[in-house]
Amino acid sequence: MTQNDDRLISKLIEIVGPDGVRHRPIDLMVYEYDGSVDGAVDTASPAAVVLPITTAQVAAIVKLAAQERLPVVARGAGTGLSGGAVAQQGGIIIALTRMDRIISVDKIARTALVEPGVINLELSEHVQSDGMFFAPDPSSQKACTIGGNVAENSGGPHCLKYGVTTNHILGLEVVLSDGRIVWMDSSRDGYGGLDLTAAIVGSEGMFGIVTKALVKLTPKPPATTVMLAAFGSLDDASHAVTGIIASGILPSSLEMMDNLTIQAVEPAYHAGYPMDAAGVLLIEVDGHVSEVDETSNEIQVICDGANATLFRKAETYVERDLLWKGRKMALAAMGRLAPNYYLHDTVVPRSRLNETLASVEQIGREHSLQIANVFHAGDGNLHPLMLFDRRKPGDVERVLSASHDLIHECIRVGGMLSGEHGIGTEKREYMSIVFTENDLRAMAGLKTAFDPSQRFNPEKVLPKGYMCGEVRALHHAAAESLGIFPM
Amino acid sequence: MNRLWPDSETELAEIVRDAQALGQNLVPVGGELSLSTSNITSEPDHIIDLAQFAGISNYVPSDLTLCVGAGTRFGVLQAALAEHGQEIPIDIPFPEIATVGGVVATGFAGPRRLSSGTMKDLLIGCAFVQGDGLAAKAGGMVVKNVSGFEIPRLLHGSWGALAIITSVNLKVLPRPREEATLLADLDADLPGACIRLVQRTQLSVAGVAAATIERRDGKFQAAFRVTGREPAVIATIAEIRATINVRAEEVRRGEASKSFWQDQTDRWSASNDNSVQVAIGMLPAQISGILDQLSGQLGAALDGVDLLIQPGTGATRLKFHADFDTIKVWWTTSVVSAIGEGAAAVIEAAPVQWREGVNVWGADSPARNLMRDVKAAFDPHHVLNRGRLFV
Repeated sequence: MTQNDDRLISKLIEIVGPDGVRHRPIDLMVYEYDGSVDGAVDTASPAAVVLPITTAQVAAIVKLAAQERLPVVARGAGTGLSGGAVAQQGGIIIALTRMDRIISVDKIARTALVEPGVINLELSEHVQSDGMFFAPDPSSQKACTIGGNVAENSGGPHCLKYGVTTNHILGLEVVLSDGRIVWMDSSRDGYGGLDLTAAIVGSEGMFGIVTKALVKLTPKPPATTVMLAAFGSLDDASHAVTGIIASGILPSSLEMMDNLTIQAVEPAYHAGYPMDAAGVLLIEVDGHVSEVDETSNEIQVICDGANATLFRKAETYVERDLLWKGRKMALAAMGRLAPNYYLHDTVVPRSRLNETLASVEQIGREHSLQIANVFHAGDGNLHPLMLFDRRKPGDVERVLSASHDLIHECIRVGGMLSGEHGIGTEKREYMSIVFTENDLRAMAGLKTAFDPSQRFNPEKVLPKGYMCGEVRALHHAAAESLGIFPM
Repeated sequence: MNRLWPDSETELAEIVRDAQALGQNLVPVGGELSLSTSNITSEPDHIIDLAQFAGISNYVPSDLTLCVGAGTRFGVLQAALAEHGQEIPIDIPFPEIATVGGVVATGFAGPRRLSSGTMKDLLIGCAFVQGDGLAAKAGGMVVKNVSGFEIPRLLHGSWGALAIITSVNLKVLPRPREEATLLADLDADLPGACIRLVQRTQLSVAGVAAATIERRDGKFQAAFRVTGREPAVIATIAEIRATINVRAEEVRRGEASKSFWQDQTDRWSASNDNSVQVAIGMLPAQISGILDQLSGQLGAALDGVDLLIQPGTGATRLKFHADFDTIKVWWTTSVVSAIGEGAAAVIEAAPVQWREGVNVWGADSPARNLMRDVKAAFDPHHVLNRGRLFV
């Protein structure tokens, strides 16, 4: 520890007290990484981690960081999958987890004012008795925080019908990189300003630190039905998906899992997934009681038309929850198949789903990798899980090579880099494949407007070195190269 | 002043760059239905008509996505979607004139925002030319996307002050199979009782897609819109009827239901600039209180005023047909204290002479400095809509 470090730590302690600062190497270790794959994303240690409990404290920390010219990385639960909460450039991590109050709930307006450390599922549980829920429900919702959801514009299985986080943000209190605290409103009738919340959501902690969020709550539908359909091929399952959407039905959720996933999930949870199915669809519809009945009957006809080998409606809450448990805990069950996995997050137009699934299978064969598929079929957001063992020499390299091919393939069919997990550091070099220099320049300009000092979560999202302006040529090279991108 | 019709992004970018070099200002237009919502009372150097940026491309009904030129008439888009049983669930004033670019830039929403949200919720990408002449795009053609920063949604409701939108990528929705509207004449002199009744109904009955209270010719009428499959629509209308329990009521179905809402939307268009129309955004719980405040401030001038209230979203509109001088004084001196902190108010429509020297944006946002920084990032020389938003 240098004298400068000591000085920094003591100044941070002045702001949040000794209990609010982590600086010993052993305490910093858990903050060196997030949910991303070590190897695809670099781990790194910050100079310190601070855990404020008020907005004023956040602002004070940010002002100190500005004086010291240190990068600042905001962090929620650390469940992010693209490296967004890792301080690769060092600096101070501000962990928002202690700011976990649900400040107020407005039952007439159906909104809640919350602090960023509130856990996603806990918000829904809190307003359940008022007949409402917070619609964006990422699979990590038992752990992830609202602040993180805002930073990544999180989705989840219900966003097909209910939208993603940005569709549920009505206002934000944000601390900017110079320590200013700003309240911003979403656009609404009578409003004469820019919708700055629209820029903040999905900005991956690079524009400002959210210290309060006014979120929209959704009324719980009067009736919900969950169905399971099994198929002899992923092709058939995809046809069913297309058929359902094409018939004008908008399920509240439409998830697909392949055989490999079922192999992991079914022995673990006994949700009732047939072990011999090539793929299953988990379909949820909600709405008025009569609507739900009629719709689920129509869905059964469509699934039968797509050669479903099984179709079942959950008859009880227990059955329903179990079917969902199998889906929501799929990643956790993967440990039964392999010690490590790389979870991808590419999104393709739904009409290209069949084709893409076939490509995923081929990529798996070419790289001798097992790839499980569990994903949001309704919106084309694939989550291929590449299974591997990092202790085996060559596994990591094969996974990275396969990842590269996968991303290129998804772009080729008109998809995008990330449906939910964000770009972080994980996918920033791919940005040059989908965006031109002009596009990136527009984004860089917006970033500079919010954070001229370039210290908030630096070197994320935009290709490495982009903000420095020194290496324009890098992204041309990256776009044309077919090799493995440098990490 | 010139009117220009660029037919390519390259040409448009050149126009913008030239204007920047010459210190000129431009106003991009679509249907020209919202030009009254503006602090601009003089002519710009050039009007940029986006008419040539029209057309729907890349429409894949089974993907529920499409790309549409900013100059496309909104009604044309809706008709094309209807052919495939799809729609954009937003009523727009005069859809045969309004353009997609204009709808996105003005951020117009309407009462269906209660259940279906706004264009912001459907925007998945766009192409644009910034005020500094940079032609770029952001987003993609997929319904979920977190690749890069959210410029498209920032451009929603940005009133043409940051960039000229040339095309947008949209997510669309299936058209409801049925719809019906319950109209109920409310026996009350004061809006307060009406508001409470409608709020209670709309909160307790699931499946209300939109709800408004309108006062026309001194009489209050509540309207509840229900969409979905037939048995659900019938059951929900019955539930609303039972909850609201008024003598005089009527149900309109299908096309008759749709045209009720289109008529109301047209009636309250910002293009009706022979009256002074105010839109206030506030919390639903505040509506009665703020109307009381206005009553206190405006007195008799509020008596003959048309009202359109969305009890579920808090959006409230007032249309003054007389007492323009009184309204002007009130607007410039008292509106901010009436609406209080957190609410927003704008003059949506007014005769251009009335708007001279008036700031149509009633309350200043707490984020105004940051907004100016964002403006500077897109349009440092204030080429686009100079003076419309930022003074």
